[in-house]
Amino acid sequence: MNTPDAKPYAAKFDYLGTGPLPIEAMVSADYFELEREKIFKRSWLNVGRVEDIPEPGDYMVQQIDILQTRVIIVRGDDDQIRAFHNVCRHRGNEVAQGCGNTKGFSCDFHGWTYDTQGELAFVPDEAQFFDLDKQQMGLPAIHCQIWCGFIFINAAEKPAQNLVDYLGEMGTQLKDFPFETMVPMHRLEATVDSNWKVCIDAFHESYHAGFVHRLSVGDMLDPTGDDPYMHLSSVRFHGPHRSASVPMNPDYIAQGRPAEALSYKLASSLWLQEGAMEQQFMPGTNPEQHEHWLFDINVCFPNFFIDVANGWFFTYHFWPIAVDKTFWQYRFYMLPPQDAGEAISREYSKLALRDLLREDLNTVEATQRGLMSGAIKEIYLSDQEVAVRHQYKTVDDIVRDNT
Amino acid sequence: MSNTLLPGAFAQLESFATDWCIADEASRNRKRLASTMSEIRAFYKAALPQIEPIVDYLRPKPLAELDPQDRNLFNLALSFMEVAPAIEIYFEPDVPNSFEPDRFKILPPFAQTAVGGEQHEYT
Repeated sequence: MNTPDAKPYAAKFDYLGTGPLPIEAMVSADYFELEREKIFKRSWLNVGRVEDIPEPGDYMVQQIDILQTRVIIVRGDDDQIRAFHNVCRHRGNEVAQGCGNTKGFSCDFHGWTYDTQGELAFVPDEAQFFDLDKQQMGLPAIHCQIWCGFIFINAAEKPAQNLVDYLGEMGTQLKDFPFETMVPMHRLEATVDSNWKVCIDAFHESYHAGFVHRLSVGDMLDPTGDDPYMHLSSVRFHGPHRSASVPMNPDYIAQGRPAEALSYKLASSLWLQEGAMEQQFMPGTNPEQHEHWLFDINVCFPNFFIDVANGWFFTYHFWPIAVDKTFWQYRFYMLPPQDAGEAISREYSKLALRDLLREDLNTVEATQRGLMSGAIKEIYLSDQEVAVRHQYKTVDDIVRDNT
Repeated sequence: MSNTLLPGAFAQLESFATDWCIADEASRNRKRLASTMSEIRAFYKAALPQIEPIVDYLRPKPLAELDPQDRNLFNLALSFMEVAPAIEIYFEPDVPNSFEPDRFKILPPFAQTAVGGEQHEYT
């Protein structure tokens, strides 16, 4: 149970300090370029799930600005998932667009054709070339590994670690969650005028909930109880990755919210968890076994969230475009509805989260404008915002070669 | 076959069917944002007591095989969940102080778009 005045994290994570943070990392274009080279071009980055490309020949092209490339992720005719730069070996043109199912990738410029395993299969008028070794001229590969159905890529020539070692204890904590039993309900996307880390900062602390979400979260907070600010129940750092557990208000009854009450009556609800104390927590959740537990925030460094709860999970991707611009993606997954009642019930949860996210995105743009104004040189963090502190320390150590 | 949009058992909702039997989430959201609170409230008040009867009526039927009238009824129930936050939480059609809806893309799950996605010709 939280005690409102305790500051548990400063002592537990004393290497993070307690002082104000300079804002350079949030506003400096030079700093952003260092992040590109030292973090994003060397880290394992999630690009989706295996279910996104379920059949041999299924592929998707993703523009990844921070890597200055477009990536083809394809399930080959041998059922193996690979990633390639979308760049023809001939003269550099792109060979694929969008997503779909294909037998291969054919360049529109001169017809060079690659199979679904990335091998160069056909060169028109090949006899006119000089010493072409087609076996060495497949699409330029990007390292690609799978963890629990999540597809990660690494743009380094030789990644420092394989994916499982990179995820480390974060992966261990999450690996038993039944991701594969859940289905995507929808996707949301937005290009947000804010630094990627400033965006992330709005999603890994609970201090903002009573203010940004004062209408939407509302009575979920219990101003008369012993946790008026919805303090995090626990925080864990796994190397560069971070995880926090968010409590629920056990007295929440969705008063004045008949649609939410209906949603709960028909199946299960996002927030309303009457009787939750008796239920089993799904594996991979609530690692410290809090009694009044709502969900876990899990951040896979640098830019990927897998937030898990009982019966649902969602992911965020924060893709940096410029120092003050980020492409944000959200995917929400739940147990598949078995009938109309469950489908209608799940719609409530899906939309409640969707509307709440627009409150967050509005805030991060206003924050970035304030930071860019130059009016302040540093920001002040409470013990409850320790994940914010961890993010800047982790990034800064890499950018300044302090690792 | 009658020429109503909804099954006969839900005739009392028929006057809302043209406006609120909407097949996809993004369009339902656009409709909510383009409606006045009195339009939303009228639909909400009529639909709220019917959601459980709708669920009881639809529950035995496989979701993927609903006939057009039943599909309309299902979509109308989803529209109810779309407008409910306007009445119960935000007290206006849109979320106050929020990211502009025109810049916020609501998309179907990836698997659906992949199936209907662009097919790359192999020559």
